[in-house]
Amino acid sequence: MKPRLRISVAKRLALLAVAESATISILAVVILISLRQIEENIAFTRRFGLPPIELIGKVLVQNGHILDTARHQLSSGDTLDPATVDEHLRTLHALESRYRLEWLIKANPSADALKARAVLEPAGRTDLIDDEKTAFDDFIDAARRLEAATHLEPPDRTTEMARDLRDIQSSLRVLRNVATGQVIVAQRAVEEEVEQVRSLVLLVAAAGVIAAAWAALHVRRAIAPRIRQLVHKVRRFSEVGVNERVFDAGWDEIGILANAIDAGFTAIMERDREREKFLAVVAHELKTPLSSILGFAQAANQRPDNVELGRRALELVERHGLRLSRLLEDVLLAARARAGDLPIHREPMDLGAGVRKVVAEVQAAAPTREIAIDTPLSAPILADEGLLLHSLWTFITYGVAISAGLPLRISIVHEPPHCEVRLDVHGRDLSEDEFSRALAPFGALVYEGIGGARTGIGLFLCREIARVHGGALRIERTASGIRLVLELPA
Amino acid sequence: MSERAILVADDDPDFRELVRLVIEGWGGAVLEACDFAEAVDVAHAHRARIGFVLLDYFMPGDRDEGVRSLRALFGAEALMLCTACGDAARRAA
Repeated sequence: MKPRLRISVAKRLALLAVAESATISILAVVILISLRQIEENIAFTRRFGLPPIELIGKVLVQNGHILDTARHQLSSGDTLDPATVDEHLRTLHALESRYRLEWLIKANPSADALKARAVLEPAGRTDLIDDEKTAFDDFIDAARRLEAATHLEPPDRTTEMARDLRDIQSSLRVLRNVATGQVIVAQRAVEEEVEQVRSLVLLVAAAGVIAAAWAALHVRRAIAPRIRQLVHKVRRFSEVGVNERVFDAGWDEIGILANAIDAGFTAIMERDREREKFLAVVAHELKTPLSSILGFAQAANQRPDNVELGRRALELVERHGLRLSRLLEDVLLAARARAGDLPIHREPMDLGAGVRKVVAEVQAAAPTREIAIDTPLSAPILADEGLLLHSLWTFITYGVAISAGLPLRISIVHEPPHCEVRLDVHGRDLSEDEFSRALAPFGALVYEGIGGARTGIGLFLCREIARVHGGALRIERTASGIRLVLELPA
Repeated sequence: MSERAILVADDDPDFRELVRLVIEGWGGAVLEACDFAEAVDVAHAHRARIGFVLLDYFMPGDRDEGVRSLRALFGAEALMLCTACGDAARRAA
C-alpha cells in the first residue's frame, strides 16, 4: 500500500520554487554583505592607511631638502635660514599633531584605530603597532631637539640641526615603512576576505543547487510514475475498452485527477451498459410485436378459409404496426432530444382529451389494468399535440409499469398559467436507484412488473418534451405512494 | 378424461392467442396465464392435465418464486422460459 500523499503538486512545486528562491536570496544577501564589508575595508585603507603615507612622504621630501641644505652649509660655513627652519618646524608639529590624533594606533581610541588593531592582531603583526609608536616617539624626540637647536649659536647650531634633521629623516622613513606595512596587512585581509566570500558563495550555490535538485527529483518521483500510470490507463481504455481502476491513494491534484478519471470511465462504462440495455429493450420491443404479426400472418395464410382468423390477424397487424411505429418514433425523438434538436409546433389542444385518448390506448395494450381518471371537461393548452401524446404515453406507461397492479389514478389540475397531469400510484415506493435512473437518458426499465403495457424508452423523452414546452417532469413521494407530475404551461 | 395441455404464461394476450392458435391447430390443448402468480394457480388447479409449461421471461410477479413452484410441480425438463430478448434468455439459461 502506497503511503497517502498529503502534499499537493502545487505545494510541492511551490516548495521547490521557495527553495530555489531562498538559495538565490541567501546568495544575494551574502554577496551584498560581503561586498559592503570589502568596500568598507577598502575605504578604511584609503582613509586610515594611505593619508599618513602620503603626508609622511611630503614631509620626508621637505625634510630631506633642508637636510641637504644643512649639510651643504656645514661645508660652506653658512647657517640655515631661520624662516625656513621655523616653517619646517610648523610642518613637523602639524604632522605630529595629526598623526597622534588620527593615526597613531597605540595611543588612539578612535574606531579606525581599533579596526586597524583588529586587522593587525589576527595577522600576527602587532609588532607594527609597537614599531609605529617607537618610530613616532623617535620622530617627536628628534623634532624637539631640532626645535631646541634653533636656539644654539653657529656653528653648533648648524651641526646640531643637521644631526636632528637626519634623525627626523630616519624616524620618518621608519614611520612610513610601518604605515606601508599596515596597509599591506589590511590589503591582504581584504584579499582573504574576498577569497572567503568566493568560497562561501560557491558553498551556498552548491548547497542550493543540490537542495533544488533533490527537491525536483522528489517531486518527479512523486508525480511522474503516477502520471505514467494514468496515461497507461487512459490508453488501455481508449484502445481496448478496458477500465482498470488506478487506486491512486494520493490526496493531491493527481490523486483527484485519477479519481475523476476513474469516476468518468466508470460513468462511461455504466452509460454503455445502459445503452446496451436500452438497445436490448428496443430489440425486445421490436421483436415481440413482430413475432405476433408474423405468427398471425402465417396462421392466416395457412387457413385462408378462416375469415375470422384473417380479420383478427389484420386487426393485430394494424395495432402492432402502430405500436412499432410509436416506438421507432420515440427512439428517434429521444435521439433528437439528446442532441437538443427536438422540433415543436404549438397549437391549441385539450389536454384532458389527450389524456383520455392515451389512457384508452394504454388500456387497450393492457386490458387488465384499471386506471381511474379525473379530468376537467376542458383543459385547453398550447402544445405540440403529437409530441405531447408521445409524452403522455411514456408518462402513463411508466406509471403502469411501476404500479405492478397497484391502484392508479390520473388527474389534471388546470390552473392557468399552469397545468399539471398527476399520476398517483398508491402503495408504491421507488428506491433511490429507481429514482436516479427514472429520468436518465435511455434509462429504460427492466420489464418485471410491466403488466402488459410497455414503458418504451423511459421518462427521459417525456421530460424533454415537457422541457421544450416550457414545463417540467418530476417524481414525488406522497403519503400514500408515488406521484408523477407532468407540468405544462396553460 | 381431459387431454394433456400446455400451460402458456405470457403477459401479452396477443402472443397467448397466437400460441393457442398454433397448438390447437396441431390438435393440442392450451391453458393460459397472464403472470407468474396466475401460472402457479392454474398449475395447481390443473396439475394432472399439464404436461409442459411455456413461460415468458418478462412477466409481472416474482419470477424466481414462480419458476421454483412450477419446477417443484412438473420438474425442470417440463419448463421452458422464453423471451424476445436474447441476453435475458442466456441469463435465464
